[in-house]
Amino acid sequence: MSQTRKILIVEDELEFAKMVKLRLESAGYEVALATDTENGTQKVMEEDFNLLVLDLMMPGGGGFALLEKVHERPDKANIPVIILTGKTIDDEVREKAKVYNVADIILKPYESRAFVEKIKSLVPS
Amino acid sequence: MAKAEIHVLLIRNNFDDTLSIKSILSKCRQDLKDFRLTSFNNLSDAFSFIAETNIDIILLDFSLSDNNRIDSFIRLNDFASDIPIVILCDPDNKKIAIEAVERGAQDYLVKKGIGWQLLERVIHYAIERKQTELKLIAANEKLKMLDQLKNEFLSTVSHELRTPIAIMREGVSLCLDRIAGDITETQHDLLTSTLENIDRLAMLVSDLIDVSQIETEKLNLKKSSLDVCQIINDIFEEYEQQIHEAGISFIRELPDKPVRLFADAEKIYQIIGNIVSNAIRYTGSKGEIRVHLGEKKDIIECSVSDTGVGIAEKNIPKLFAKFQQFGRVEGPGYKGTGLGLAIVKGLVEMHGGKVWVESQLGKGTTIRFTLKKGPFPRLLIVDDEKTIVNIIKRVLCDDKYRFREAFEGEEAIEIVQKEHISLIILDIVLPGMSGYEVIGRLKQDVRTNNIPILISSGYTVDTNLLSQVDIHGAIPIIRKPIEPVELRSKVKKMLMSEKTVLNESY
Repeated sequence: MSQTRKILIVEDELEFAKMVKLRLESAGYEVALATDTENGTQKVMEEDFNLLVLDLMMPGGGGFALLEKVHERPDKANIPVIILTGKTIDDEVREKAKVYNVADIILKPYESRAFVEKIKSLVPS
Repeated sequence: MAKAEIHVLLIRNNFDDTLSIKSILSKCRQDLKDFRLTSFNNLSDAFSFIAETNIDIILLDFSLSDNNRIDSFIRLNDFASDIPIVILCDPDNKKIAIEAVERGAQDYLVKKGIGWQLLERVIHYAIERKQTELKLIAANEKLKMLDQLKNEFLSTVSHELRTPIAIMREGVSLCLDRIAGDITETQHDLLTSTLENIDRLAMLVSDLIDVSQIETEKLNLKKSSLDVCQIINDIFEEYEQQIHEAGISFIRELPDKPVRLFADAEKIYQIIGNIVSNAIRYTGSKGEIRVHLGEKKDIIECSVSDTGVGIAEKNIPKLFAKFQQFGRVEGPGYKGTGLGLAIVKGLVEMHGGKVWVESQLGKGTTIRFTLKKGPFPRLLIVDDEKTIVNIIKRVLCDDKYRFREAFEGEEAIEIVQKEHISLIILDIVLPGMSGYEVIGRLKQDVRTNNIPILISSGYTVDTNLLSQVDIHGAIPIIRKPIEPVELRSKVKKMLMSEKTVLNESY
């Protein structure tokens, strides 16, 4: 994979997505945004990313729907994933996360510094 | 609401009774009201009549010759649940009549010597009582529904709140971390208190979700074997810095061996963590917090005592209610949500325990709670080699589970049918009946087909044969020689994911 250390944020709350982008850019990453499932899926397919930050509840099915499509492409199936969600993390979410090798599920609101640390552990900047 | 006519349905076995009741009712008629009498001599005719007619009261004659009087009453009472039923009986079957009254009949009358005044009074009161009963039931149903609605509303709203809170938090954090440019000291202070209160709001939302899940019984406990001492030590580590900064001494009085529970570790952490964080909040510097843990036969008892502000006696009964805070800490710093102890109470009760408080204003507070240790899962190990059985027991750690052993299939099936078993670890190659046969027999029996099975085998498992005895084909397999980590995690996971029914009596 390329040396860009590129992160894709797929999140339908645009203001929030922009803030996360700002945070991650200041930590030294290159960040792309998508605000719905379809657009996010397309970006993953077309570009190379080192990490995906996904929301669960979005128009078009959300993070898991995106992962289902992405996992059809063997070369894309191994990108590390972090889920950011406002929905209670129940067993169903945990089970699905396991299927798609999700590295972490983070409940909103979260502690930003811990979030950046987690990302650094997955993709050193 | 007084109707001109009261329609009485009599279910009896001989025609003479109809005549005598009719004549008694006709006397009532002259006095107050019209009675209309319809009579049937069997239940099914009565049922179809009830279905299409408005009946005010049913008189059910218990001098029927058959032995199923109570059954007839129950069937009738279920069918005509909104109609009062009065039992007519003979002096020698009064006992069954009383049983019917306990099961919902309004009254009973011994047939010999019923006067019209008595019958009339009984009928009137029966109708009135039944109406009151129905109103109460309806009001109660409505309340339950509203409560359910409230909880669902609460849960939805709370989830919806998380996203805006996250946006506010991240915005403020970006400023505070100077990612969005430099800020003055005053701006820094203002943003810091803003952030603290965003966190307070977030805590409130998360507590509200907990409360609504406890109240709607939507919280599923994920039980596993845990050590309470370990949890208390972890909690101490989490709060160590805070305790140190507050100048509080924290004393742990724990048994020197593990104290095992089969419970939800996260929830036990939440219970003790909540109580400890309360104690820290209300205990001044140079104060002391003492956590004591003791065990009795089937329960553990834990207490957290502090030398803090204490609670006035009049406030103690309100302590575990929602949104009750006494001695609120003023000024900046961590503030509670007023839900912590309500959550503690709910979680303790879900674990079969009780929580109570002893406190003196100005001297300190002790919160004490009990938790049931078990019931621990009972594991049946089926293997003809004693050494393997012993290895499995040792790997799974003796004090975490209760074990049963069987050396061959027939014996295993007998144990599973007679005793309560939570999980079976089954060898495939057994003397006599094979492991496949054992699975087949267990899966065919409704009493045993839900018990999770883990196959242990030194040989390749014949998946064809396995799919013949178990159509779902979801039986996990562990290879011999057994890998300890794998065995532990498989057993733990199976006990957690299966809706394991743990019988209290074991």
